[in-house]
Amino acid sequence: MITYAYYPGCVAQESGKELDNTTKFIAKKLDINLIPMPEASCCGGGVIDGFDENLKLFINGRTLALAEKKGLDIMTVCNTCTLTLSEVNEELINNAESLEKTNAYLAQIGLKYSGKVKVKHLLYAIRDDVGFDNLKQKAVRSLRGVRIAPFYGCHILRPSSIVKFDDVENPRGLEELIKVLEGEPVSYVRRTKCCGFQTILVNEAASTSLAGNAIFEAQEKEADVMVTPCPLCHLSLDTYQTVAAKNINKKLSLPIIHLPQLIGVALGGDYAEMGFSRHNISLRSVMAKIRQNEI
Amino acid sequence: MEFKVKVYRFNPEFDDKPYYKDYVLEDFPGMTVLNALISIKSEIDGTLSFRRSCRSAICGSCAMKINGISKLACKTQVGPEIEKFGIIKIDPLSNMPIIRDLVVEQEGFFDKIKEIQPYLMGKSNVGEHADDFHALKEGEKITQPVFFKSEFRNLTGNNDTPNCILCECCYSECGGVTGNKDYLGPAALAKLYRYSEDPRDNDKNGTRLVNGSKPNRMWDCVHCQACEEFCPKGISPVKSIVKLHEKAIKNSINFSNGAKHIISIAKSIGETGGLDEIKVALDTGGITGLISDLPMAFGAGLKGKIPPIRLKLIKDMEDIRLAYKILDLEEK
Amino acid sequence: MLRHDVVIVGAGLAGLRTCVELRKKGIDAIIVSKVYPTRSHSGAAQGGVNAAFDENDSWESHFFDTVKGSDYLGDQDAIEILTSEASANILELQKMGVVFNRNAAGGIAQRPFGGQSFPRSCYYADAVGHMMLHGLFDNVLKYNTKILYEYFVTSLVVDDGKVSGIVAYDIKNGRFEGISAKAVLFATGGYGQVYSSNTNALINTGDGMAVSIKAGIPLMDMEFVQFHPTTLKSTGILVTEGARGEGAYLLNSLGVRFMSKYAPKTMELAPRDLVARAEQTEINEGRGVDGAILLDVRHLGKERIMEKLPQIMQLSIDFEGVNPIYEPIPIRPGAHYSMGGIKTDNNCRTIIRGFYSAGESACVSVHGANRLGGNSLLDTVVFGRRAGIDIAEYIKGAVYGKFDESILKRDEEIFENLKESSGKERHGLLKAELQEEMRADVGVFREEIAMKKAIEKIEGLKERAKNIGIDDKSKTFNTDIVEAFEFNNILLMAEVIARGAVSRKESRGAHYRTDFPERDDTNWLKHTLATLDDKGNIKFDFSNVSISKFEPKPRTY
Repeated sequence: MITYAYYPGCVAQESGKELDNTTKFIAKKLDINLIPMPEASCCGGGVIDGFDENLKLFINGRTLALAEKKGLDIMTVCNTCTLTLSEVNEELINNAESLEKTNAYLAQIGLKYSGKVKVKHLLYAIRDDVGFDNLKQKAVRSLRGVRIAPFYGCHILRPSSIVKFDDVENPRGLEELIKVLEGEPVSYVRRTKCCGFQTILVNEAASTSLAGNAIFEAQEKEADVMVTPCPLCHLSLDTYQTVAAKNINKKLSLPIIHLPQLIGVALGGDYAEMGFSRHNISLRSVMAKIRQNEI
Repeated sequence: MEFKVKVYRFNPEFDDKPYYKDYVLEDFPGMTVLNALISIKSEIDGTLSFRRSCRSAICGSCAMKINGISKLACKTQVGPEIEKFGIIKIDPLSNMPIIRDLVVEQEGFFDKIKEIQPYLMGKSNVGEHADDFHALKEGEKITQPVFFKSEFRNLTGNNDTPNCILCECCYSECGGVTGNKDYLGPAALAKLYRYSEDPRDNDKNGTRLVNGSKPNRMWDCVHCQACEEFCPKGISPVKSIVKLHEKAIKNSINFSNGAKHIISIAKSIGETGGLDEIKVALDTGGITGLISDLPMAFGAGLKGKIPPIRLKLIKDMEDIRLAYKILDLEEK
Repeated sequence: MLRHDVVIVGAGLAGLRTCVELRKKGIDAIIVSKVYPTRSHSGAAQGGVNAAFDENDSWESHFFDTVKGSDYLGDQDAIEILTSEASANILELQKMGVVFNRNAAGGIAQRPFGGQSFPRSCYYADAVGHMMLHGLFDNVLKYNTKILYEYFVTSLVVDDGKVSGIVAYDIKNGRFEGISAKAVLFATGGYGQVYSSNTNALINTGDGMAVSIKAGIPLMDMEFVQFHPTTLKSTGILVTEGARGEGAYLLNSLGVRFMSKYAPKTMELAPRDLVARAEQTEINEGRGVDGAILLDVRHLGKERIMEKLPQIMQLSIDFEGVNPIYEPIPIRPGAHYSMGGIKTDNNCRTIIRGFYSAGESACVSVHGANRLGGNSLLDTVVFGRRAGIDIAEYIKGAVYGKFDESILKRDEEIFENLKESSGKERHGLLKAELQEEMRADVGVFREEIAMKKAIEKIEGLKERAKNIGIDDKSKTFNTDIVEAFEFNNILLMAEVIARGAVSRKESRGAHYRTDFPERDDTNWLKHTLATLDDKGNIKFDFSNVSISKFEPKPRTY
């Protein structure tokens, strides 16, 4: 049994509840013990340092300290949470001044951080700690014949000086996972590009064109579904897909699935319980394709 | 070892559309991609066009996409690329019009550099040396203005923005520019930050930050981190941009949606510990923003995706309030 | 046909500095450059720019050091200008936005450099050229300057002893443009590509010098070629003298600091000509390490290396596979700088009215037979500024001259003919042959028989150059044809250098003749002036050296 302090992030607890639910489901199946962190705050959505750099240090230093107190590493399911917590972690480990001022704050709330926590995203926790072989053994459904476009997003890859899970120039984590589940990874250029989420409220046309063009490229490569490890990418790719289609003037209709949902399918999860009906773009076609493998 | 170079070719005079041409070369220890291109050009095919100059990673001419990533050809060695990709595939930079082969149109990029007013503004506080410029007479000494090292922090370090060589690797990789051709991009904004941090600058009215807050500028950064990741000089434009954000907000230059967005997130965390998506959307775009996003909100709502209007507080919320209090952020 | 009061050709430091001077006065000056300005080779200058700031230092000391460094061939009236205006120029740059590292007292930090009797090289880590180039470029943008990007100059148009414009090839669009002007400045840099193993950019092909000598303007002291003592063994990439300024050692294969033998007082900080020769002697006498010498900075410690020499650390790692924190860097002498160039007076004027030159393309002469490190950047800004001031005055009374359009037609024809040529020679390969010959026989050590061999080789290459074939028939960004043209320029420069070197029968500064190892002030304390006769053959005249303060003395360090 592997145990993590579980940091789902805000979106997975609100508009993207299906992500949280499904993560808990697959964790159970894979013998991952997720310890909730009800005291943890929002990481700041990847932009809080633009408000105040120290605020980013303090609130995330607190989250790290909470995990350290439990003696656990943190597992995330959101790219941006992963990067933000990792950035602060690196800063506190490498910069004595930052650590000192953060600990001065933490001392007032009965906490202390000493740099022992590791931050892992679900994808790489499964690859490195659970093992893809282990996952394969537990799979009860096959994704054979399903063409799956991996969409990494940014913050799980870049900057590679902070998030060191994969080869930033040619990541393989998602492709390997798809293959383990017997699906066919679709190769396309925009798999490592930006979804545009951070400017969706600033410049919607520009922002959604990024997601839109990635979806379009994957569609052209005959993807059945796109998988993403990040709920913010998911918002851009799924929730905004209709807006994106209008903005780039292309027909778009590609189901977007959260990473744990994809794994959940293989582990025999119930589609309704995994929130498959909560997506903007229907997942029915994908479900149908998977069902063929079951007949 | 023999290896293959696959090069993007396009000459608008002769070609209807771009194509790739393969060349086979023999490598030598330490061979760079630029060495490879030069030997193709001088020995095999003189029609291949690319820019190059210093061959030591300081002039920024030979930026191009090597196996999909914007790099300087002069400092990219053939060996490791072949090891990883089995081939050297070369394309022109992205986000810029292609003139021919690997040569892209750079004028737009340089126009954007010009747009940020890349020079010291206002009446100089360095002393009017131009007016009293003179050659020293025998025995004469000159006095110089005093600036301490601490005043030049962020300007004299190894990874600081003045080291930027304007090679356009960041611009080519920038998600913001891909989505919006009018966005200034990382290099220009990093330069904006560089001048805003200069102790000799006398921009009393905050012109830089006000101009920088207009559409297509600092708030259009998508935070994709590609500029930092792929900068061949180890600079992080995105960090400069975030510092610009912080500087603008601290100076109450909040008129842009981007600033409102961040303030709203900070407010939401300060009140509940979490991020209130609806409230943030409302604060950012105002009422118009919400109306324009209604189809989305409505669509999401049908699926039960509209998040709760009022978040419940995280446990130990007073910890977070204390952080805001210590940092004196409560009023903002 | 375009028309502008002033055309500045070249956008390195000298060109940009002149431009700022003119533009801030509101003068109609444009820049014509074969590359985007920030690609200019000034940006590769690493170590420093000299000026006496310290209260224990003096500009007079800088003056003397430069005269002595030049082996007394530098014109002392010009050097007096260079050194007495140095500090004011640096402060002016600082005011324009250029950043220099700071010392503890809040002034500009300075490091020792070769041949300087006081630490007076101002720096920005080891990238001061980059800092100055970008700072000046930003100022050129400030004054809204028109820039013709990627235009390659092919001819100077002269009318009755007065400049009337230039002809340039628009590389992007494959067409020629005539630009009529009252004044023209060439700030076109050096010719480092004449040699294999050089520190220069591939664009440094002596274009402005070649165009000038063809237009009848003499090139001065071209036989004086600086070989930089520390260039990376495999690529010739520069390793700043600032490394030795910070305290680096030069070691031979025995691990000995051999400079004690050649310059016991100044050791590694002797002037470049002396250090380059010392290294080559060590290598020739079998005390090299695989044909190289070792530059050792390890004792400076990681922190100092990373703070003061970050660029050379990265260059050594990227281009030589050596991390200088842990291993010494293999280096050797490489062609670096042209002391010679277009002959100008102290205000950058040439013999053609309205035609100016500044920077490395010019020869004032402030560097004489050997330039001191940190003086070239200074030269570009001091004389770039002076050119701007003089041009501003000159054009007040000047009118546009007659622009002979047949010159444009002629250049067009040359390009067209070259493009249509079915010759079998490849200019890229001819260039490699030329460079290797020049390195071998007109290099650090020179001697009559070898140099005559080089001249023969050059004659042969001139013949073969008539059979150059061009693969690229396009008008769009045709770099094949530009490179062919550049090759012809370096071929001409090579000939001027080699013939000048044969003719100068003495050793002085960077020009060292094993067959005439002594300096000969009786016969050779004079400048060499190269021009072309009617048949295109190079001929030489000589002119006096200005000696105002310091009588020539034996030069020891």
